[in-house]
Amino acid sequence: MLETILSQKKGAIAGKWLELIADSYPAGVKILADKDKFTNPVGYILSSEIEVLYDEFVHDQIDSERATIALEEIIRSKAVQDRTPGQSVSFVFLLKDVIRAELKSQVKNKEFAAELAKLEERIDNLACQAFNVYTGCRERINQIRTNEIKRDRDNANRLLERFARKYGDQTVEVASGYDRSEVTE
Amino acid sequence: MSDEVASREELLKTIDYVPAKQDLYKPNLEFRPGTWNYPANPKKAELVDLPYPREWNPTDLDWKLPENWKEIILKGMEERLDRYRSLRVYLDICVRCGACADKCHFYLGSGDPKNMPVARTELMRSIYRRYFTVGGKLLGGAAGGRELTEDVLKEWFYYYYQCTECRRCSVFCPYGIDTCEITMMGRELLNLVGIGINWIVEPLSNCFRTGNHLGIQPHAFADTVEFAMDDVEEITGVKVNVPMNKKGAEILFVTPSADYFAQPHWYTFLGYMMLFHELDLDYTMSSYASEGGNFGLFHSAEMMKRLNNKIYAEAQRLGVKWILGGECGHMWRVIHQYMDTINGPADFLEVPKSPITGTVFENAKATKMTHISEFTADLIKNNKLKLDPSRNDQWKITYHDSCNPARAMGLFEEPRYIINNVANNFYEMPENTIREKTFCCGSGSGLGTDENLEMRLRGGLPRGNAVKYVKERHGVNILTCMCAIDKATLPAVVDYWVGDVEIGGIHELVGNALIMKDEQKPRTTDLRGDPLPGVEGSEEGGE
Amino acid sequence: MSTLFGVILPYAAIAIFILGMLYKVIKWGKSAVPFRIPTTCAQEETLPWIKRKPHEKLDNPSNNLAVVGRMLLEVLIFRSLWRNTRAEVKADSQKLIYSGSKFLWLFGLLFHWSLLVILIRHCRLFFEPVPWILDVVENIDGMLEIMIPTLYLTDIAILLAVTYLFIRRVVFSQLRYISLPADYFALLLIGGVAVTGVLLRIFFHTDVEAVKELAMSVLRFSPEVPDQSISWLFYFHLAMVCTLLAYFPFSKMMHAGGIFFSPTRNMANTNRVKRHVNPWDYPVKLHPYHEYEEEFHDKMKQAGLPLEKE
Repeated sequence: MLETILSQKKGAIAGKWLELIADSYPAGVKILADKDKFTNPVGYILSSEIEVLYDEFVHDQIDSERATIALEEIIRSKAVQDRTPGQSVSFVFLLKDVIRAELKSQVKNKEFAAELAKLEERIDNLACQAFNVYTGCRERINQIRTNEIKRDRDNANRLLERFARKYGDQTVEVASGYDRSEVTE
Repeated sequence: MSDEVASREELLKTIDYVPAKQDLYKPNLEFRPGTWNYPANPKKAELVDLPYPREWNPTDLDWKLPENWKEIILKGMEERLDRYRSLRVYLDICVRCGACADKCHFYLGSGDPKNMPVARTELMRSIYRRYFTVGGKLLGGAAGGRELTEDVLKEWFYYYYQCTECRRCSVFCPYGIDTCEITMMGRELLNLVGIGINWIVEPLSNCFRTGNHLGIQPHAFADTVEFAMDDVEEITGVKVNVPMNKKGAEILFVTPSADYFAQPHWYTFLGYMMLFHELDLDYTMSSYASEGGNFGLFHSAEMMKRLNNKIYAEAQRLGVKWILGGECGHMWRVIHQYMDTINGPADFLEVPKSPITGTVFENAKATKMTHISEFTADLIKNNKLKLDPSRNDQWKITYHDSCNPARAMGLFEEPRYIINNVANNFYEMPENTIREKTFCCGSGSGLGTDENLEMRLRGGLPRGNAVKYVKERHGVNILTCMCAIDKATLPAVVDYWVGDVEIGGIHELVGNALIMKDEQKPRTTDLRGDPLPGVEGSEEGGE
Repeated sequence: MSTLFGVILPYAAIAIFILGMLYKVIKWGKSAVPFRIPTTCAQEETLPWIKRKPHEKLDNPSNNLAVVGRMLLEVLIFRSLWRNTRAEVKADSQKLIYSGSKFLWLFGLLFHWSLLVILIRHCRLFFEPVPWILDVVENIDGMLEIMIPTLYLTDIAILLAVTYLFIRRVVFSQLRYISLPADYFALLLIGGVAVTGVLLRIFFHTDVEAVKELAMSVLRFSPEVPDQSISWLFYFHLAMVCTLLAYFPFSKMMHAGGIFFSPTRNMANTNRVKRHVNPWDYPVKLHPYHEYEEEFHDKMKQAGLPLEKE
């Protein structure tokens, strides 16, 4: 029942949700003015993925692959910006306020109360999922950092091994030509 | 429950939601780890006589500035206003129209309004107004002036090492205001009071002493080049020889040190060696001038000159006729726009002339240094190379214009011409992300360290986004580029924003396609050691 | 009163304008151009078989003539602002569509061209007889006789443009963030001049002949203030123009002159062809080869690298 209403009101609710999210960017950052995929990637991703996410949410598909991808797309940029983990995922909760505001006449209707509670539970679950995605992003960053350092080290080792093969016992002396702290690129 | 719908402001207040609000003129002192670079190692700074070397930390309250720091900065500014018309004019004429605002990759990726190029410049412009214009001296804040405080200096440090000097904003500015010029001045001023970053100071200090950023000493340099020769032999069966410090050679070849040290640069290096061998080119590399890059550019004009000097000096000592330069980004900014001015004239050299095709590179008449892609494109055009593009069929290729060859040179067609001749599958990224509008890797101008990774990822977002597009659309699996910093740092960017796309160089592709006279048996792997398509054992094989 | 507003203020304003301009331009001119740093926005001139389109020759000029062309494009049609292209992917066709976000370009252009035409129109106050070219400009500008007396096209254009330029600073958060009081002030000032000008023309006529007499006399350095026939609104208009003139050299409006001094635009990309000299170049501390060989002599020898001194 509520699902139908939410589907019908998709334009209004998803739009408002998006607006609120856009407002979470610092003053001076115009996220939605320009929906260009390449000159404004963050705004573009946000406006297209929020819609996807909303659909999945309404149809109780929040753990679908599409929903996960949408969450990933949205959160990936937040995860490297000047935001706390809370600030990176809190956009999900805004949906509660938007829905409440949009359905305020129906909210008083007792029949809906139960459904609404379910819906809010769904939002909570979505937030948990968002947090998982956020953590995934941070883990990825750490992995990338490790990979980068490892790649440097592997390079150095590869060359050192060849020195060893070439010079045998002299390795240490020759290799000291590299100060390991210098070998960073 | 109230019937009133909460206002947006109230809503936003209810949860931990909005990052700290900023005002353009209030210094932002939030130094989140991962977004700044470690300060210069004082020992390395001393080696190249930098002022006020010391241990300090950006997260400390006290940066241990010299007592008269303010005087030093203002005097430095005054001096530079007379020395650089760019600085004076650009500080005077900006109308804050906002055309540059969303052109900066850091702005797009960070969502930090101070990364709008106009805002980045205002950080210095406000000081200029306050101390160097009548209105600012009289009216102060009302005329857009701002007191120079330690906090302002700290903010300079944060934001002037958060600009990759890529010049994209300058393309869109109606007056050509180039934030790169401002950033360069900002960094010079900071370095006057001993605020520098190690990723710049250490390489340049190394380079001054050993001839290259990595601090590789001459014998080790010779060794790594020999290892590369071994690799070529292993893959092609051809024994190539790279002359080193050879007097009387015709050409001095200079390339960034990462080419003979790092991955995936290495494969490009193999490509050069194979090409030169095939042409029987009379060339030499030099251990003294073993660095094409120049981290001095990211530090100060003086340091750039001190490092760059080695190239002409070595060309003269070895008695070569002209100089050939490898694939690199900022190296080519220095060579194209600065080298002749700072260390020329190179009267002892001749105008570059390809010994194979006889083409005279008139466009390098004064500087006497030719870009390898110009050299190779000329070879291909004159049918001097036997190529088998199918040996690059494992790749679906796109090409990233590196900032400096793009916007400080205009080197667009040669690399594309080469790619189209050595490979079959080439796909351009969208029009407003390539050529003069190319997006930076986010790690240029000495910001490519691992401690700065998050800032780099922010800066890399627009590029990553464009790569993702061609990957999804055309199945692109390699992003080629002609810049050592790109090759070193794009893997991380692509890994985070796209996934499963390799990074490579143009001459890696050339090396793959090049059919060499001395080759006895058909090649089974590409330069990475991965099996070629159609050869038994290939099945998306390799590592 | 009318002597103050009709004579003293204009003289003072013009003096400040001229001296201020000279001061700025001399300051810029005296500042050195150590390096040749054009921003290259197209393929450079390299191998002869790499053909360049005409616009590419201007976007990456390889000689001074092309630089003139580049500057003309920049000054006359705001070439760089025109670059604001956008790419959009049409959801249904998955086709990439390029469109322009050209409002800033359009209104900027309208604004500046209107200003120029209005300036030219006002020249008739300083010439007797009026040169024919001014009549031509006026006739074209007055093509659309919307109201009587003629409401000029440029009057409408400049009011529209100023309004747009002002509103975007207020509405877009991005621009609000970077806008300074000076930015609003300049727009309000020019807007004020335009509004009073239009009012003078359409609603509150002033004695144009008397104004012209005043203007000519000021120009001859023998100012004669006419009697009461000039309205207070005119003096208000004039006072704002004077403020604008006096403010001009010390404001961002100096971009009008500054663009000609911009090294990324006014230099040819002849970097590797012609030597550029840095006037303040000075010797720096180097690490010459012999010192390098001295330090690494043994290692170089061991590696078999040729040496100057065995």
